[in-house]
Amino acid sequence: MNSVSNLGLTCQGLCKTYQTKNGLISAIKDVSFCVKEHEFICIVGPSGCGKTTLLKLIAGLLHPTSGQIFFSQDPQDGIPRSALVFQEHGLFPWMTVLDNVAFGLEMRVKDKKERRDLSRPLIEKMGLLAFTNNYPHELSMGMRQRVGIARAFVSKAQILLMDEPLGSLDAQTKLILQEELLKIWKEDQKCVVYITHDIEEAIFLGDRLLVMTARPGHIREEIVIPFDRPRDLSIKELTEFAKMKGHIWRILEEEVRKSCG
Amino acid sequence: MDDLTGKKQRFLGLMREGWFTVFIILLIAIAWEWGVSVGWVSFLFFPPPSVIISTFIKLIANHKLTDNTGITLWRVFLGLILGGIPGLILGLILGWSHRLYRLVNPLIAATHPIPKIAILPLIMIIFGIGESSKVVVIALTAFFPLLINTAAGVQQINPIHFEVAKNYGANLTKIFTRVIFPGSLPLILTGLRLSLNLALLVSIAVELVSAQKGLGAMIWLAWQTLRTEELYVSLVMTALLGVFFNFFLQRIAIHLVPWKTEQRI
Repeated sequence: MNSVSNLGLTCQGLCKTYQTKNGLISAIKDVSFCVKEHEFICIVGPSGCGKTTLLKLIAGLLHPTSGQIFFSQDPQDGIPRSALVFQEHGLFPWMTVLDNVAFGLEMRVKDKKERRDLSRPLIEKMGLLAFTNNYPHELSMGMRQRVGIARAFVSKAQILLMDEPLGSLDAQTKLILQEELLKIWKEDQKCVVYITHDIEEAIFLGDRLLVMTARPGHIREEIVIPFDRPRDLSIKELTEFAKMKGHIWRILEEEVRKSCG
Repeated sequence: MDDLTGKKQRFLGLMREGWFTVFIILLIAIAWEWGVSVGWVSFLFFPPPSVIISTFIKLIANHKLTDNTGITLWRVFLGLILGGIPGLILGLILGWSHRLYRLVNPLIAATHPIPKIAILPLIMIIFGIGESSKVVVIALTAFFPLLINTAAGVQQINPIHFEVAKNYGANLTKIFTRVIFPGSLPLILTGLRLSLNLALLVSIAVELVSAQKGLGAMIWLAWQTLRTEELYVSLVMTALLGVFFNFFLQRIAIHLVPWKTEQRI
């Protein structure tokens, strides 16, 4: 794959400050990094370090105070440039599983029936076929996140932005979904920016890992994850895995202490 | 299987509730009938249920009841269309624009609590004593509940839903049809129910004071001529309309907002 070297996304000197009652608060400061096409990048950092802000900037939901974001491709034919998977509440409660997934195609495919037909294979892939016509409130948290992920994949957006999508799940469901996520990502490798506070998750999923500092967040360290793909859960038993985890934990601990004062 | 038994149970529960009401009404009717027959209850003031029912049938047969009910229903309908639709549209706009909401809200707070029937004389000065002033009062009544509930319905939509829609490139039309409208629909239906009930209430009230026809006028005429059985017939008909409206709206809600199973409008 020679396209691996192509850049999917470049962030340059991103800053975002918010106006609050107590004056200006700087959420992120001078964040620069790039993500190659087909690369899975994980961002870890202490809570409140501006991870979500960063993701919303890339998604275009917020505008940076300064700095720039470059995309390798222009959005085309109603394909959104990026698809954001939210932590929770990202699904429309008034739509069935099928229509929630099909919403990913809303801008590209005019015909409702076609949107639904294109969505069914992904619903099947995520193991939700039996719940096609159910509403989100009838599903478990794990299933809801699957729907959110299916919607992001069906949209054909080249950049997938994930904001702790598995953060609210129990440990077992989380492990299963991590493996499934890698499986589905392998099929059409999009560029993924995955935010998490779970270090193990970040090492297990990512090609590269960015560690952010406490607020105002910027990137403190970049770590290339050496494990070959396809990966399974057994890599968590390797000493290298444990060493890496320890290293990242020490950085995070330092940052968390800093933010607590 | 599970779903089926669930439905069956819900149906049985509803039946039980329904039967309980019927049972109570029957009990009162029997006591009433018996009370009149032994002379404990005045026939003139409280004609027995048997007489009310026979009068009911008679008034349907000679079209008096059906005509008057039709006229009341037509006024309710016109009022709901003329007041409810602007209320709905304005509610959607106010719910969406915080700035506009802050601007208009004091005005709503000031005008909403005024009993619309109390300004009938004023409206009659403006619109004349004919049909239009009656409809205007009903429309004003129907306007506010839909306006307020629709605005609240839009405001309670989780901001994440707007972000999702924007993230997937939704334009204004899509945001409206896929997020704002469906998201506020449960409260719109609550507003519709309030508007409809209040419109019926005010229609009867307006007819009591100023109409020649309609259920309210029928009640007033029956009272003036001391035909109490007709008075009761009109009251029963009004109650039946209320029951019918609410049943009808509940059906609509189950159909339109299946995602809110706990929704009891």
